[in-house]
Amino acid sequence: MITFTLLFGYLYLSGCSRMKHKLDDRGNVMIQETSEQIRKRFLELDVDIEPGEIERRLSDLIERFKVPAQEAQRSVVSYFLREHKIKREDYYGAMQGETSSMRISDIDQAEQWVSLHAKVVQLWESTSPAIDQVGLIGDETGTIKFVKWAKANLPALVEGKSYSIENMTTDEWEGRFSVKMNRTTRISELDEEIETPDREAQLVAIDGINESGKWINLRAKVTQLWDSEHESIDQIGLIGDETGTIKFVKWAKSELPELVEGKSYSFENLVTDEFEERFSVKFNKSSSIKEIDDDIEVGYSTTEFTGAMVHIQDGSGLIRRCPICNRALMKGTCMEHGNVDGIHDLRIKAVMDDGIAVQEALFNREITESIGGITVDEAKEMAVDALDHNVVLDEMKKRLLGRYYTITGSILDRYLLVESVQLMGGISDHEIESLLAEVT
Amino acid sequence: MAAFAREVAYRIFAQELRDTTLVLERDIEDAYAPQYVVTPTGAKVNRIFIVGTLTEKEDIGTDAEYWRARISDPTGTFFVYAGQYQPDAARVIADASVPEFLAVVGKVGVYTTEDGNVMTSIRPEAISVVDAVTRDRWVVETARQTLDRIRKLEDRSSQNIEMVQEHYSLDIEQYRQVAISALESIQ
Repeated sequence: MITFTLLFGYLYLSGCSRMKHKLDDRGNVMIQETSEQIRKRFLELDVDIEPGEIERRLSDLIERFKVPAQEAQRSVVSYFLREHKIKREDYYGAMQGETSSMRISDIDQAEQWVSLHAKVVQLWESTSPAIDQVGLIGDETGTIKFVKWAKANLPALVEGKSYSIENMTTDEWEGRFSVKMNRTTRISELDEEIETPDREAQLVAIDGINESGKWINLRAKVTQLWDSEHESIDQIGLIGDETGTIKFVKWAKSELPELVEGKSYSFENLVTDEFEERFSVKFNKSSSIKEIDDDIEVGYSTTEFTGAMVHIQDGSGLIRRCPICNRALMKGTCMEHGNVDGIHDLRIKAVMDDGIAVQEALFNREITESIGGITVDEAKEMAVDALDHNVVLDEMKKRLLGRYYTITGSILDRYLLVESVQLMGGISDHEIESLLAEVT
Repeated sequence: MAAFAREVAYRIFAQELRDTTLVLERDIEDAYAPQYVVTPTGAKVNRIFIVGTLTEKEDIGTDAEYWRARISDPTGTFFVYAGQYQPDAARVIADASVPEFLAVVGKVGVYTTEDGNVMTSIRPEAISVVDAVTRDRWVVETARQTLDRIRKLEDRSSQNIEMVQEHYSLDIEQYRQVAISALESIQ
């Protein structure tokens, strides 16, 4: 099953290359083989399916709809399972010879059937009645989250004990894998103890965080608290140490003490995460927070970018914010608090471009007033006179687009939060001469 | 998964854009696939940023307004077309006086004539009236980036060198001269 999938994955990827013609033939072979495999499995369940029918469905999905081969296989199997009223677990569950015993670090795909020899490293509190047990299991190669469904009716796992766990399915969420124990999973305790890697979190500096999924300790100050946009998030914001700042997320489930802006803490057992090449740290149930007396001096890493302003995004100009949560209103309505009497503000969300790279930039009211030459009060008057708040945005575009600026500030997600901005002045003759000297 | 990334606005002199005849085939499976051209110095371009002088403008539309603007840099002329689908840009052209410095951000459009000639133009996303300081900065920046592209072709580190060699039989040296004379023109 595993080797088969890998080969199939390879073919799917290669199919995108230039050697398309040649690979199409091999693709057809794969479709035939897959369809034969599906047919055999159904025969074992006393269902005889016309091979051409399986092949037709597979090739339609793969060739016409460009569905990845593995997904196509899954879809076709699901179709026939429904058609013949066969339970998923009867089809997949009995494929015992097919699930492979593997190491945790080998798990790199969702929806695989796997067996592991692993130790229960941590048990967490279940957050749902559907979940009997949840936590971390580990082997020599790493640890992975597991979920044991209540419906599966399996024996209780004990923290620190090692087991042979057969027939689990893998799952993936935001690039991280987990295993699920279901009705067909078999658990037996092992006599020998499985060694797990030292998960001891290390004290690190924020600018040293360059990998996701690491357990770390930090000494840092809470520099910003933002509005949580989701009830599952208790607190979210920025923490910083001498080397820089990083976004943090504290889950409501983790039941940790409240962080206060401006206070310094010693944090233990945080997990690093990455999204679009930006790192963050997440607090979980095993994290701990201890306030410290030191006042940590936060080093802000600032970025500078010089380029032309080539675009001003929607949501720029004169906007209104919710008086309760400060979020920008959409069509006069706050997503959280509904119809509110908004407070006017000015801002610019711009795209800067130097011909090599683009940088999105967020200009707050103060900076916007200084480069746009329009104050909030003037902007309000303009909007009232024109009966249209877009006149402010139009005027900003007229004044700013196409000009060169040097902006400095800290990077947050996609945006550079502009702390200072300078309109670029004239080119010096010296600059031109030295460029000419390079080539003549 | 790769996140959506905005296309960089390339800096290309008018002469180089006029000489551009290599149009990459679009991915027909993807309606949102961007259109690229590869210029003689090896820039693979979808979006462009230019600063030049409005030298001529004409409303060539029959029913609705459709503006054609000629915008010149020290090396040649860009053609910019703006109609009802670029209302902001069309308005700026309509209101602009000749001559005036304009900055244009837009997509490179290509058109193949009946006798097989490829014509390039710019479909503007934004146009603004700027000053000579901005124009000078653009010329220096465009010269520097053009010279960098030439250098990368010469030391064979340009990603698009094969396409350039296969398609263009032009002497690359002439674009170095174009950049030099552009620089000299604003000294």
